[in-house]
Amino acid sequence: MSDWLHDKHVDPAPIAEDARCRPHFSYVVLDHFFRPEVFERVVEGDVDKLVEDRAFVEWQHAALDFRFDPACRIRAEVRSATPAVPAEGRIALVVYLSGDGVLEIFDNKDRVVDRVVAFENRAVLFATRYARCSFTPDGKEPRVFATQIV
Amino acid sequence: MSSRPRSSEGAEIAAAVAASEVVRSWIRPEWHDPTPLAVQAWARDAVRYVVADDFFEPAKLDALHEHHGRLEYSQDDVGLNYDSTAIRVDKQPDVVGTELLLDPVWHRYAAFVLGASLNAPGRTVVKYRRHPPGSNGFWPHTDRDPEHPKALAVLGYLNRGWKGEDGGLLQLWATEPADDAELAVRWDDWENRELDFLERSPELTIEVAAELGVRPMHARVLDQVVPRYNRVVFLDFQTTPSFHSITPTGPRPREGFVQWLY
Repeated sequence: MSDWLHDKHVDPAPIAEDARCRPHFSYVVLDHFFRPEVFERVVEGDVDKLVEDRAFVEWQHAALDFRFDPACRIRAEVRSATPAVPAEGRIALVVYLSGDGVLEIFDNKDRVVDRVVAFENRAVLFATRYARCSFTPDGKEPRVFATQIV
Repeated sequence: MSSRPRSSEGAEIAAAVAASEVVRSWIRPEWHDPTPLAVQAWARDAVRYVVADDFFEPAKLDALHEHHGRLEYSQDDVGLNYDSTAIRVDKQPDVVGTELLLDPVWHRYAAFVLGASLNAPGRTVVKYRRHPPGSNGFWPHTDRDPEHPKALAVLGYLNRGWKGEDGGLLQLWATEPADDAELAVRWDDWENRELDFLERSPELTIEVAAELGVRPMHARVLDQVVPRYNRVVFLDFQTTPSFHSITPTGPRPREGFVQWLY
């Protein structure tokens, strides 16, 4: 963990407090998420290997899908995305790599409760079982590092 | 999405921060450029605010915290549904922290983050605040003031290891007008009482404390902010009324500061 994450995010206790205190469902926004050298490595990933992701065609993205254990899936490179609700995993981690956009987070009556701007190396961690959200690109093609823990 | 702040102005302010010995010594380098904070704050339509963690240089904030603990506090907002003690420090330049909070570069920084126009440049009120254990909380209110229009507030927190169960959460509310007949929570019914309904109800029909007195509103909580050490909240009052409240405090004192710019 400490090889990948910025020092200030290695202790999960304060992150958990922030997530639990959200009024509608658990989520948390973490700036400067990866260590700088890790972030550079992820950004420089080989985009040529991306293929259309049929499983998530409604997200309109291409992805490089690789699994390093049966419970964890990594996707990368959202080329463009339309509003959608992630549904497969129980916990999702999205780290913005580049591009612009806004993640809108809704309550259970589809009213916006937050609008999170996609900054480089900003992570959003949320429980997909309860989350209702959509991502709207704004200008440049967004690139995202995303994992879902199922 | 709201229009975006000008990154060129953000770069100018970052340069001013870097050139200011005082401001540079207080703000951690990753926050010298206020543009990302501004972009995030402006993206929020209902309440314009943004939260920044690990904002101040630790040695500076530790010194402020130590000084904060030696000040004499008195009950603030006596007779109102805002339960805390405070001391006003903006006329006391020997108080640790005022060298930053009175600095014009800092004022420009905070105004840029929220897209605020300072109609009374240089004017500020700063209170160091302490909510004793068992404090009742703060009623949902705006800081808008027709006599002395506040542009924004900066809230800084000094509470190490704070947990949700310690209470004292800053709540931010979206509101819509309601009829008086619909009111479920009235100001007069809660004088000198613990505002525990704030912890139970993410939606209320309540008399919020508005610019010209209490008004019936449908209110729903958008966010709850843990008042963690070295966390700063920038809160606008020009673009949005930014109704906010504080939940009752548990067994720990809740410490921090508030600064208003005009």
